[in-house]
Order: sequence, then C-alpha cells, then structure tokens
Amino acid sequence: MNMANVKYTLKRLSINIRNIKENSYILAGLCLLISIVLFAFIGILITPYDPVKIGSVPSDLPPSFNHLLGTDSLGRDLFTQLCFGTLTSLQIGFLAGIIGFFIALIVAFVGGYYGGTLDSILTILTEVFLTTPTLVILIIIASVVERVEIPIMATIIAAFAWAWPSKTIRAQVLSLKERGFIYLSKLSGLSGLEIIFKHMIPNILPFLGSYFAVVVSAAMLSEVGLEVLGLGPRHTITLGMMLHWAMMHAAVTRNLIWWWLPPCIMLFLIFLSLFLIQRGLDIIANPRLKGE
Amino acid sequence: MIEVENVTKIFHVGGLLKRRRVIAVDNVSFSIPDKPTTIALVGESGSGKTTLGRLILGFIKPTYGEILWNGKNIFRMKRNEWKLYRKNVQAIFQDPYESLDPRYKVVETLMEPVKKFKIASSREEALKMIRNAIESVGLRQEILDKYPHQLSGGERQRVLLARVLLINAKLIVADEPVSMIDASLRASILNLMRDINKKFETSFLYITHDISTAYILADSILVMYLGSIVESGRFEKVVYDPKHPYVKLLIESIPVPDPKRKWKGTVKIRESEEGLLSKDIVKFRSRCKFCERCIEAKEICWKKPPPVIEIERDHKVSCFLYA
Amino acid sequence: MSLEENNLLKVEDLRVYYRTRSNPVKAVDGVSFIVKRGEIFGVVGESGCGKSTLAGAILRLIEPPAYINGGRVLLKDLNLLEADEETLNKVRWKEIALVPQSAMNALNPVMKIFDQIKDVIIDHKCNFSEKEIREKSKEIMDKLMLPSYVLNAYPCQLSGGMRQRALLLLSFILNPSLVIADEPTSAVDVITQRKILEFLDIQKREYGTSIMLITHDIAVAAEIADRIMVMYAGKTLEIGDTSKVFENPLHPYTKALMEAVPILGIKKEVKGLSGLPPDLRAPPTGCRFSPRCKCLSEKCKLEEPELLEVEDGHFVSCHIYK
Repeated sequence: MNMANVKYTLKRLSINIRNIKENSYILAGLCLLISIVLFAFIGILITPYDPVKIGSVPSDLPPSFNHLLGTDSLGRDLFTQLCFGTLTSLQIGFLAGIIGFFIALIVAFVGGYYGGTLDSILTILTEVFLTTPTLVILIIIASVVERVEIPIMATIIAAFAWAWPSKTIRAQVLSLKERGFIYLSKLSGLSGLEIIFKHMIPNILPFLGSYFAVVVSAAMLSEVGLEVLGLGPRHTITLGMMLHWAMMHAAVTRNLIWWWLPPCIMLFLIFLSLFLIQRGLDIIANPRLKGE
Repeated sequence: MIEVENVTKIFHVGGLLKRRRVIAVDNVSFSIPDKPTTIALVGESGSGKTTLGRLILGFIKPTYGEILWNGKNIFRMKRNEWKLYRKNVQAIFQDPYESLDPRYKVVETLMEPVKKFKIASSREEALKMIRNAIESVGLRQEILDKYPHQLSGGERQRVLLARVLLINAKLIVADEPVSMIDASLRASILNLMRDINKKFETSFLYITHDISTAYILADSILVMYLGSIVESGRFEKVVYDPKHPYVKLLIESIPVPDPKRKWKGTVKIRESEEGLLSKDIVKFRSRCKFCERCIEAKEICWKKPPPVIEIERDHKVSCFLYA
Repeated sequence: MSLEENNLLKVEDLRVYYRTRSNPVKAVDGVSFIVKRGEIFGVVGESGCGKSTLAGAILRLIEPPAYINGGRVLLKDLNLLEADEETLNKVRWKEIALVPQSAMNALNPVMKIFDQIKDVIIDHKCNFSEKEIREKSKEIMDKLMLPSYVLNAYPCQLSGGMRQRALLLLSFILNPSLVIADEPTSAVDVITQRKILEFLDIQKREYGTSIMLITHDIAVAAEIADRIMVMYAGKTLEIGDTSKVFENPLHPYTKALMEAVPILGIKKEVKGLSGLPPDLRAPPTGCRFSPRCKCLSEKCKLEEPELLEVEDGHFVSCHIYK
C-alpha cells in the first residue's frame, strides 16, 4: 500500500465535499456545530475568570453583568465554565469517537474482507463487547483509575463505542465484496489493502461519515453519563461535570436554574447538530450511492 | 493450457443449527487447449457453471481436485507465478452495471491493470495503448473521460472487453456477458468477442444458459447438469446429434425464431418430487444426477454415477444408455 | 380486422404516461390493436418499449406516478378505462387475468397455494366443491409440470420458477376469456419454458382462451403466437400474422430484430442495431425509430407515420409504405 491509494481516497473525499454543499441537513448541522465552537472559543477569549479554581469569585451569585450566568457554589464563574466545558466535552467526545471509529473500521474491514477464522474471532469479540453492559464496566474502570484526564477518558469511552459501528460497517463490507468491480480489481492484480482503500472505502464514504457522527454522539452520551456520576476529569471542566457539581450542590432544588440549564441546552444543541449531520450524510448515502 | 482435474466444490449453507452441504461442482474434469478456441459452458441455473468459472478464475478453492495451469496447481503457486496466471486469465461478468467502479472514470479503471501488470513503461505509452484498445472495441475516445453511469450497458461491456485486450490475456471467462442486454444490441458484443478470438488469438470460456448465442461463437461445448458434465465435444456434434437425454430435451426445447419450424409433439420429462435443496449429499453423488427426471432411466442409473464414454471423436457423454 | 363478434378486446389509442419532476415519460403513446377470440397475440419489444405498462393499464392496475392519458380499452361493449371499481373487480380474474412479470412477489406469502386458489374462486362467486377445485388444479398442474406438493406449500417454500407457474395456475383456474401473460417464462429454464408455452397453446385450443403473450424473445412469439405486434418506444410499429411478419418483415426495426437473433443449426451470422432507444421524456419528432433507421426520407424526422394496412391483416407504421 502506498501514498497513491491514500491520495485516491482523499480525492474522492473532495468530490463528496462538493455534495455536502448541496445538502441542507449537513449544512445546518455543520453551521450549528461551528457556531457552538465559535461561541465557546470567543467566550474563552473574553472571559477574565478561571473555570476551575475554587473560590476565584464569590459563590452562588445569580446572573449579572459581571457574571453572565452567575457563579456556582464553589466560587467559580459559570459562563467561563460553560465555554471551557463545551470545548473540553467536544474534545473528549471527538477523540473517543475517532479512536472508536478507527478500531471499528479496522475490525470491520479486516474481518469482513478477509473472512475465515480471523473473521470469526473478530465477530465473537465484537459480540462480546456489544453485549456487556457498557455503562457498568465504564463506571468500574473509571472509578478504579486514579487520575482521570482527557486522553484516558476518551480511550475508556472508545473501548465500548466501537462495537456497534463495527458490526454495521462489516455488513456493508460483506455486501460490497460481492460487487462486480471488486472482483475485477482482484483480476487486475490489486492486493486486499489496495482494494479496500481504492474501491471499498470511496464507495461507502457517506455511510462512514454518517456512522462517524453516530459514534461521536454515542461517545458524548457515555461521557456525560460518566461525568454526571462524578467520574470525569477533575482538573478541567466539562459540561457533564458542570451537571455533576450542580447535582452535588442541589442546584435543582435550590432553583439555581442558571447553573444546570445552560449546560443542558448546550448538550442538546451539540447532539442536535450531530444528528443533523448524520441525517444529511444518510440521505447522500442512500439514494445517491447507486449512481446518479 | 488449463487442466481441470476431478474438481469438486462443496458449499456449506445455513446457520448454526441447520447446516447443509450443497455440491455445486461434482468431480468435473476437462481441459482448455493452448490453441485459441471458444468453449461454451452451458447449463441452467444451479448447474454449477458459474461456480466452475469462479474456480478457474481463482476466486474460490476447490474442495477436492486441482486446477492446473501448464502443469502447475494454481492454488499452490508462488506470488509471481500467480500474478502471471492472473494476467493471463481474465473475465467479463454478467451485470454491466456492477462491473465498473462508479467512482472512477473509464480511463482510470483501464489504467489500473496496466499499472499493476506493468504493461506499459510510461504513462504516455499506457494512454496510447488504452486509446488503441478503446478503438478496437468500437468506442469513441470521448468515453475515456466519462463515468460508468453515463454509459449504456452495451458500452460498459465493451469497456470490459477493451480491458481484457489491454491485458492481453490468453483466456477470458465470460459469464453470461449478454444476458442482461437487449437482443438487438447483443449482436455487436458477440461479434466483437468472435473478432477478438480470431484477431488477438484469445480463448473464451463462454458461460451461458442460452445455447443459441453460444452457437455464434463456440467451437466446442460442455453441458452441465446439477454439478456434473453430462455431455461435451465439438459444438456441432453435440448440438446436431445430442446423446444425453437431458441434452436432447434441452436442444428440443429451444424456441426457434421461425414460425415455419415450430415445435412438434411434446417433451417428456419427470418433475423432481423432492425439491433440489433437500438432497442428501451422499445419496445424490452415488447416482446419475438426472435419473429422477429421466424417462429413459434404468435401474443402474440410480445406483452408480455414470461413466464418461467417448461416442465418437470429439464427442463424449456421461450416461449408462451408452455404456 | 374482420367480424366484430370475433374480437374479444379492442384497444384504441391508449396512452399511459409517468409523471416525473420534468416532462412526463410517454411510456405508451397511442397504441391500438385487437385481440381476437381464441388466439395467442404476441406483444414483442425490448426494454423500455412500454409492453409491461400496456399490460397493467388494460386492467387499470397501474400505480402512480403512472396515469392513463387517453384512449379506450373495449371488452365487448365495456370500456374498461371508464368502468367503476366494482365492475372492474368482476372482470379481473374471471374475464381477464394478468400474470405480471415480477410474479415472484404476486402471491400472498402467508397463505398456502391451495387456499389462494379457493380465495379467487370464492371471490367470484363460483360454486365449486373442494374436490372439484383440487381436480381442476391438478389438471393444470400436470400440464405445467408442477409437482403435487405445491398445492399445500407456502410461496416461500417454492423456487422462483415454481412461483411463476403457481401464478399461472391461479390465472387459468377460472377459465377467463383473456389471459395477459407478461414474460411468463423469464425465470424458468428452457425445458420448463417449453412446457409453459405448450400449456398456453393447449389452453387456447381446448378452451378457446385468448392469450396476450408479452415477451422480449421473438423466438417465443414465433413458436406459439398466431399474430404479433412489435412495439418500440411506446408505439406500435407492426402488427400481423406471425408467419407473415417473419417471412416479410415490413418495418426496418422488425427486420433488424430478425437479423439480430441466431437460429441454431441454421444461422450463425447476426447483425445488431446501433444506438439506443430514445428518452421517452423527450422523444424525437417524427418517427421514433428514425435516429437509428438506415432507410430515411425527409418525412421520417418530421412526421409520425400512421399504422396502415399494407397487405391483408398486416399493418405497419412506416413512411416507406404509402
């Protein structure tokens, strides 16, 4: 396998990007996501406060001009937390999504294309990961690990996010394998890897993009789940951790709506944008995949 | 050139609980000579002809038996020998709409084997050869920059023929290349194949269920039924004077596009009461495959698989009626 | 076209179009013909000529985006295109039966074949006892080479070819006057095909059933059709007795079809047509075959030729014959 094949894949990707411009779902989703990121980024630039340092500002203040979303019970500015938290949550979610997705790709293509005993082993492995109660295991692991930081968090989540997409992608690979031009490529002397990169991946790129969005959503959901229980990074702030702290300090009962509602809304918007992107890619994948 | 020696292919179908063995190709032997020729491999669906084609192309391995190329077993070759085999044995498939990668232009698809088999020494030479090949198959040069979906079925099949010309293969396995194309458009593809056979001295293994189209091209014929070759030989000998009861029925049942030559009488054949899928593989192999439906079946036909008998030169049949 | 009583079905200027985002596809565009009593009428054409759309339209079994844009379909005195659903339901199965091309999926998957036969019979208020139904079914099944277990089987237990034949059984059980068979032998092997075609011929001879046999294979038409109609791009090009059309094909397209097929043992040389059928959203002006025709006059590209009787019972739509 050489660079030429990777170039081919990227070239097909650029053709797809042209398609993206025509698709309103993807546009809407991307715009929303980019807006969220920009908002958080700008927020970080303009805020003078530290999001994690306890007691950096007076605690339990309602929203005001100085503190747009007020402050929490530990003396930290909530608007700053929201901005930093959004970016960190997205970081973890995307990192976990990328790691998980690549594991899924490798397992799906190696097993699906080469078949045989290797495929049987990989399938069993996938099934095992699919049927274990992921949240329970995640909780156990997260509570055992001492310093939970971003990369570790991402890896833990990725470990359980790859199984389902792997299964679906493998199904695609199996059906793709039977198409005439794949056999023709074999007859042209291409190796397995060349066929995978030159002929299989370009033909299911929209599907792959769609699954990637799904994996990232799933990863973020797991992330929030863990963090709300307190099993998140302690030395940075994420949206899930914000909710955790809010719960720990009974923000709901105390009607501190400016503490728990903004992270919820932000999470909702993130999931919405990912859903729109995924839906848009689905639309490209289905009618157009069989040729215009 | 190619020897198929006692090749059997058994597939396992069904899930975990109900695994069944289907015998697609049963103890088949024949050879494809060095001299350029066209051999028709004829049979209905389920006869095993497509599986035999895939075995020769090396896509699947035989369960028993060997496929030899110039004496060497193709599944035990070293890498460079195998690459040479691949270069010399190419294919055209039935579905023109699936045979070309929709993401690549025609010229890119044709460039692929040229690069891999190192057919040309430079990109310019490669393009020149591609242009020649396109012209040889009667296509305009503009087609090179088009995507498959912009081409008709017939044009796509021609592109595939151009491809095999480029590679300069010795044998082309053509699996029902015109069955998905309208009758009035088939002629040009079939004529092209005949021209390639003569001009470029390329052999064809023409796999089909339609003996009439095989008539246009083939020098010899192999008729398969449920995995076995029942009759083989020179095309005219087998088709004008069929010996095997199944082949006789087959030839008689072909509709003739001439109202002055309508069918006379009727054909007599028994229907299979069991249904093919429930065949016990051991019982199935130990008798003539056609005995259940044959009205001329004798007792021995149910007890042993029939031997291959040479009726005359270039005409063999596998049937107890001639033993 | 002779005595009125001898005619079973008369189709006049039938037009069936498909709605699209741009122009409608003129799949059947002014087709007229007659099917006589007790004859096999072959409709021959290649993909996209409109023959399957024609088959569905006669019994008004077409679905949107297809719609009928004009014409009449007369069964005796009844215009099927204007009849109400109740009348139409009485006609379907009993007077005219349709064996659609994708017969595989036309059977009810959750009913045994025998029960589906009973259903059809009961629906049309025919009083046959179960024994009579079984006997009649067995008679037809023998001719179609269907084994006896088929009656008690579900469609999913049968092979594709068997399902096609089971549907033929359903169509003939009520002894309709006309059966429209759309590619009835496309999924079966050559020997079964002969059996099915012989069966259709026997039905015609013994019961006087008329059959409209739609096929892309002119050899099939040559074997059993009494008269044939050649369709192209939604139009009728030629109609006549099978023997006359084969002996003396008038339309250039018909001639090309004859030249394109080999005859086993007799003719190895075949010649094909160049080009492709036209896009029916924007068919060419004048004769639809003109882009691919070798003998052209100026008129061919401007004016659509009419269907004219050139010799007794032999009609052609071509400017050469005026």
